[in-house]
Amino acid sequence: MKSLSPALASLANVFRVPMSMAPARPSVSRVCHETLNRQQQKPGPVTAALQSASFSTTGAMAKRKSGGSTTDKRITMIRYFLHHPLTPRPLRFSRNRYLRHWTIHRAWQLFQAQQRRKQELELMRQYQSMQEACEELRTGAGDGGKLFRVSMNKKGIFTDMFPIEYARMQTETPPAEGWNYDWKKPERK
Amino acid sequence: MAHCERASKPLLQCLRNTYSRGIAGAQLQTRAFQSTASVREPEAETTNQPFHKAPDPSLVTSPRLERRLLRQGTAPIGSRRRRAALQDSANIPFEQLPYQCFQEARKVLLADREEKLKEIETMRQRLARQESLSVEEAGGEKAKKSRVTAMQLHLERLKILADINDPLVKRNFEDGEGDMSKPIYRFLADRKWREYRRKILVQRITQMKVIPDVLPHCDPVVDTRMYFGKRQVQAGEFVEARASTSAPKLDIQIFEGGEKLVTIAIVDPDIPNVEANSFDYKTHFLAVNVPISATSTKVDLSKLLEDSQVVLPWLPPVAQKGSPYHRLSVFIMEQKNSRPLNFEAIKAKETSRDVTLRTLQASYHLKAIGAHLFRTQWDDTTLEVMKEIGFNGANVELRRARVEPLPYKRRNPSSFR
Amino acid sequence: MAAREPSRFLSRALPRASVPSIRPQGFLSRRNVSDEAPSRRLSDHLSELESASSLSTPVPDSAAQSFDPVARAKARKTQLPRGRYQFRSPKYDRGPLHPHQPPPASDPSSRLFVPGPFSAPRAEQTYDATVAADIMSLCYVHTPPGFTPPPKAPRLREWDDSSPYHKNRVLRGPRGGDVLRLLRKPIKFNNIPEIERITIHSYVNKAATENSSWLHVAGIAVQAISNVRVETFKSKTSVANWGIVPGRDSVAVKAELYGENMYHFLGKLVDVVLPRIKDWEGVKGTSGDSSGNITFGMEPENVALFPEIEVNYDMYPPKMIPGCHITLHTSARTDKDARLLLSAMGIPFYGKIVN
Repeated sequence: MKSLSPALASLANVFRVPMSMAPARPSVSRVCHETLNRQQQKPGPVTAALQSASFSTTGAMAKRKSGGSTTDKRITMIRYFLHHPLTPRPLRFSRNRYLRHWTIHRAWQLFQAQQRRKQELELMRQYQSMQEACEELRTGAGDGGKLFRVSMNKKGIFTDMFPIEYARMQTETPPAEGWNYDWKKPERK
Repeated sequence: MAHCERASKPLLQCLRNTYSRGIAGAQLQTRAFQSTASVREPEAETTNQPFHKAPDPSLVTSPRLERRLLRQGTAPIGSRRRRAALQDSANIPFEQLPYQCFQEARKVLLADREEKLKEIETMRQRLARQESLSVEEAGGEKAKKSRVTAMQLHLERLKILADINDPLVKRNFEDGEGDMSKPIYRFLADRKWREYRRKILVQRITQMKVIPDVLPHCDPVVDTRMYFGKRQVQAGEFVEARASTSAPKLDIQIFEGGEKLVTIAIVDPDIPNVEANSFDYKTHFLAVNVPISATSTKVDLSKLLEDSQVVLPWLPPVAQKGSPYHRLSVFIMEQKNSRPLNFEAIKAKETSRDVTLRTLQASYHLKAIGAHLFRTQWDDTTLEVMKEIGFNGANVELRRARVEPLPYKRRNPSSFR
Repeated sequence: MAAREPSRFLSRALPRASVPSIRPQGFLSRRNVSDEAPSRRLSDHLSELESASSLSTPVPDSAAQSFDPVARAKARKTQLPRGRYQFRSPKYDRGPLHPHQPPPASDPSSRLFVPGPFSAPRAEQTYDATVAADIMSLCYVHTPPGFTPPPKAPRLREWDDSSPYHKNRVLRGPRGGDVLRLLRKPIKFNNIPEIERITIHSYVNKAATENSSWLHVAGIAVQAISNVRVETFKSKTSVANWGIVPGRDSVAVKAELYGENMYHFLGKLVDVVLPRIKDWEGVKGTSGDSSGNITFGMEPENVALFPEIEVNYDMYPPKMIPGCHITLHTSARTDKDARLLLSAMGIPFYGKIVN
């Protein structure tokens, strides 16, 4: 059987957590506690007050009728974290390290600019090929532009808004059944 | 950025130091001064003396040895922490430091630089083709010129972009080792100047009203520093009359390639005119055809050539007792197309010092590209200087003319009687 | 290094006596301005670049093997002496002419420096991969080459010169109200609507009527869900029954989200929070300021559904969790385009759609 460390044992004792495993031999803290408890058999007035406080969940100040703050502990914690001053500290680098950081930063900026440029060029390519296709349909199809007029008709497509089924964020693990072919547009009430 | 400038200060100090010791001092060094930089020559010569006999200024850490070095006239290099760290460092050059992210970043930057070099080549070919076209083929003189100018600008831009991501370039610039004949260092210096020094200059010349008083407009594009003797004068500072008896030295840094011919004029718009109850202009110095370029920046006004450059020699500025302070404004003006002006004609014509700078600017097609300013007022040395230069009116103290109060402010106007 | 030709700074650093006079005092009649030289060879251009570029030097593989700074630091018997002065970014802005200027925000020594971004949000990737292209093709309107749309009437009306005072008077606003709406341009590849920023705003009236703890809890809740430091605001209007006086009480907190934070927040909103709201039909179709910004409100119990608050629910006083208004600012010029974008990103709309 493994005995608890002295610190843990004393904590468990303070918070009155029942220790399931009894230590094989009396640990130092336990001995101390027992001695302390034995000494407290005949409490004076001050010790009595202390002892009663440790049993109660209410703070000693809160128990007094008038004075003492009744602020929730959680609000105190929230205020502490909200006003903590040391959160963003400026970093300090040596010269070489600063230059390395700068190099990486410049490369990252450059890479991002290249990505943006690529994305924009791709969209431009798509737009221009749409334009060319429509122009071909209008002039080169040889039906007087009938096909073109039909294709320009925006009926039966999402003009106002996309349906909510469209709006699915990309995932790394899409379902095996990727597309529901039986889906019908739900009737609005 | 800024903290690296400060970090480079000790480096600059030690640079100064290495030079004064001369080449002989370099033999003591077992390590090169820039141990972290890329360019390092292996120094074959090693000393046999023990370290405490001949301490290396880039490695010495104990205060005793440092003191001894200082007594010998050699300042230790860098901070003590840096020297201690260098003692057992492997001295890997900066760009070879095997940090993974850093090396990946260098690959990205290198790919970009090679792309830029290719672009420079294609741009150069297009520019050459455009220039070889005749005017009719290019579609008119104006169209050809604008196209060629745009291409040249783009080419210059590409040259800057090819080098701007290089950490070594940044380090060199911060250490003050930038080669001003290269566009990248000129670009960086220009940016740095515009960040702070130019703002201060523009503030001074507009707040002290030099700009509407002397010239209607000036957009400074060159960095100007001025020295009387060894002392640098900040824009708008008061200068003692004794210090300004000899002509100042100028340090004019232009941020474009090529050489320029400039006219330098120093004008005082605050000469009191007692008769007219107003102020007159006086040109204290005028020189034409002064060549400046990005690499040769020093202009000593007292050493300009009398027979081909100086039109009006230096006249020490003095402020009469009781007159308000005089603003001595320095203007660097570019001559049109960098062509030399006819010196003899100007020398014959401009003999008077009372001509305003506006007149000169209009008649010789000058364009103000730089400005500076200092002030003088009556001080202890003014009287001596006045006697030396034979200023008439040295014993006169000026008083403000009594301003008659307006009728309704008079205490006892005639209408009351 | 020192063997190179002396630069400007270097020559200043040297003692003045040892500096050779750089400027030739002679007067040259012919200036060779670089721009005047006609066509130059490539080597002339390349010589103007930095010759010793650190980027092109190859790195030997052996460098990584022998490099062990940790072991070197551990092998040191004594600690390194302390470093010297290091730059500190100024705490307060003292204007552009003060000699102590803060570094740019991208500099790690800046107080505004934020490292990262460290992630690629799903919402952003979805937008880039599918939504942008879909919206572009959905809104495509074909204009044949050479077609110019007929000119529209000017939006501001002239004055009918019935009075001599009409001369040089500024033009009249549009008929039926003085609001000049934004102009909508046809959507092409370069102006596809995207989300620019998200504002979370929370007005806490109890902060004025009771105590500041309401504001603090609201602030930390908004901070928790947005990952952005909040700003507080004082009331601008007076509300009699809450006893709020303009300019006296701090009653509101606001967080503005951009970039990575914004897309993460949108992803959480769409995937986690909105689907779990009970009996919620969606954003009202009438919402929007008619220039592409859509606002909707969230009740306190819905704010508590955000995962950051939910995992830590015990740490917030349950009554004090605030409700908030969320504004989605898009680059669309009309509400219709904004709704098209937001519905593609997964925000449902209900009721009568007002554009």
